Amino acid sequence: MKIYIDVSMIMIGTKFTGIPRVVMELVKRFSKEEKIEVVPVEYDVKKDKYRIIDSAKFAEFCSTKSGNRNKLRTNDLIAFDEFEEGSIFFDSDTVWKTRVKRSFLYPVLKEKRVNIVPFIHDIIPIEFPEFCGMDDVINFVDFTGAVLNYSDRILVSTNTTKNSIEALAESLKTTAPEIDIVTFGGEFKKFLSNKKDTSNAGDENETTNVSDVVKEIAEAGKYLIMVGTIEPRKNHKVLLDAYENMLKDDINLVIAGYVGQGMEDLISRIENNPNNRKGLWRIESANDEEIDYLYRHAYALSFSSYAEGFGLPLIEAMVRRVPIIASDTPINHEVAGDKAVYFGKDDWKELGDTVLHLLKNEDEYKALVEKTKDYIPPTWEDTAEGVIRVFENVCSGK
Amino acid sequence: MNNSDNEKMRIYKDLFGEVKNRLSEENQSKICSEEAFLSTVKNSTRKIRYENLDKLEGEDFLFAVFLSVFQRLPDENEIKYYSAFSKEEILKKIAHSGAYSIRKVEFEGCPYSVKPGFKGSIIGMASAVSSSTFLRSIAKKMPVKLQNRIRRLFA
Repeated sequence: MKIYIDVSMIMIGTKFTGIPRVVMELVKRFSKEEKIEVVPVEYDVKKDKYRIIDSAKFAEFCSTKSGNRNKLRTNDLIAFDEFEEGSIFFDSDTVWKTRVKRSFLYPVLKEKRVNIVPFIHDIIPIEFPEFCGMDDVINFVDFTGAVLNYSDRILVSTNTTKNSIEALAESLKTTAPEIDIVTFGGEFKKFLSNKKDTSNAGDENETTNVSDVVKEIAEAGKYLIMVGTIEPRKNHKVLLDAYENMLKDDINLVIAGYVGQGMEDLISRIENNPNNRKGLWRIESANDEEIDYLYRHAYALSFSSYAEGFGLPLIEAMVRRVPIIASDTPINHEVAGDKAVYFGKDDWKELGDTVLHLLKNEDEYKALVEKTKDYIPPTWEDTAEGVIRVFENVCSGK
Repeated sequence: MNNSDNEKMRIYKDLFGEVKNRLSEENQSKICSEEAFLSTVKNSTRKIRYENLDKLEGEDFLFAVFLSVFQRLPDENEIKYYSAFSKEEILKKIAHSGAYSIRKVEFEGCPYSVKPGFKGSIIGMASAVSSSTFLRSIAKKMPVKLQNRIRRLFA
């Protein structure tokens, strides 16, 4: 089975979180499978063709995330109409940002009987365009139209996204291609022993790469943590509102994540808060060990997004037995289920009341921690196996 | 265009319409017109069918050209700047940009002679010989406003 993957964005990217991270984890595992041949490709503007990327070297890059990416490029080129009949074109990265519009590419692939299987992480630019840059929205509309018109199968990671795509197709009076759900995994096994309420929670052997600032945060008292890129749809505003109006005397707040575009007002609000770096912290470039440390010492994860494709922080919290206080959205319910308590998306008062209630009711808080006890996190191996099964079904016509 | 093609274009059209309606409900940012968007659907990587653009006028034409060449909308300053020019002048001015040269776009069936200028050609060559990954990692550390200016130059 030959699987082509457009990795143009990864070849020029500087951050490998979110969607690129998923692609890289899958490629690492696909490269170990004998029954599939992965062919990463990158659009070459000078040749106006796809350039083939060395598969083994690319898989290595997916592990190390370092090294000269020029060395991954081969001299082999493939024109748009030269993809192998019966192969799979697996669009899993942010391909709507590339030069090759899918409204152009997909009909060419279809003509050559290539199976088109995109992984749709979410359709947020369609459902919530107000949270996205307009350039991204327009390019995503082109991509989504092509997906609905030409895909042979669609992969998603949640039932919520599947329902969204089917609802969209219905509103457009068309039929969506068949949609398969494959849950995202993670490398969580190493964290299962670093649970919040075990004696390992303060294991000093795990703190060699943890800065003094992060350790001081943990020592400063109980705190809520919010993890994720600071951008409009993550709704940090409701958390800040709750903190400033109700919680600042009772609990600290840590916001960890890169800053997206257009968030200057929120950043300014944090930096001008009288409690900045004394009870309210923003951490932009925490490494994996520091994020783990912050989770393990957190009182709870506060996850206030308006919209998510998946919500990996929910799993990251559950696997460390950190209670979750999440916005009342279908995706959060699907991922966290009864292991979280929920609040209205824009209701900072309800969020504040929920936190204060837990602070005053230790038994309820412990019961919330206990709910995460038997949580078994999915693995990337599970995800890769699920995706390969779908490939096999597509190739065999099932 | 056969019935199947018509149906496929309808999907793009209605999908864009849904998004535009949603933005109106949220009193949100300006987006292009349906006509400007549809004129760019199925555009190949380097050859832009000029006949699709020529049907449009004024701001629609400008938006469609930007989407076709740069895959982005013009910002407020660019809208203001280009509003004074004819279609031919707009195309020629855009062709003088470095970004146009890098993208190696051609307008098929265009009645005007649209070629990269000297400055654009130099920037295009500079982009080709430098390691974009290395430059990106440097650029990402710069202030956001400077990043946006650099993006405009190369994108």
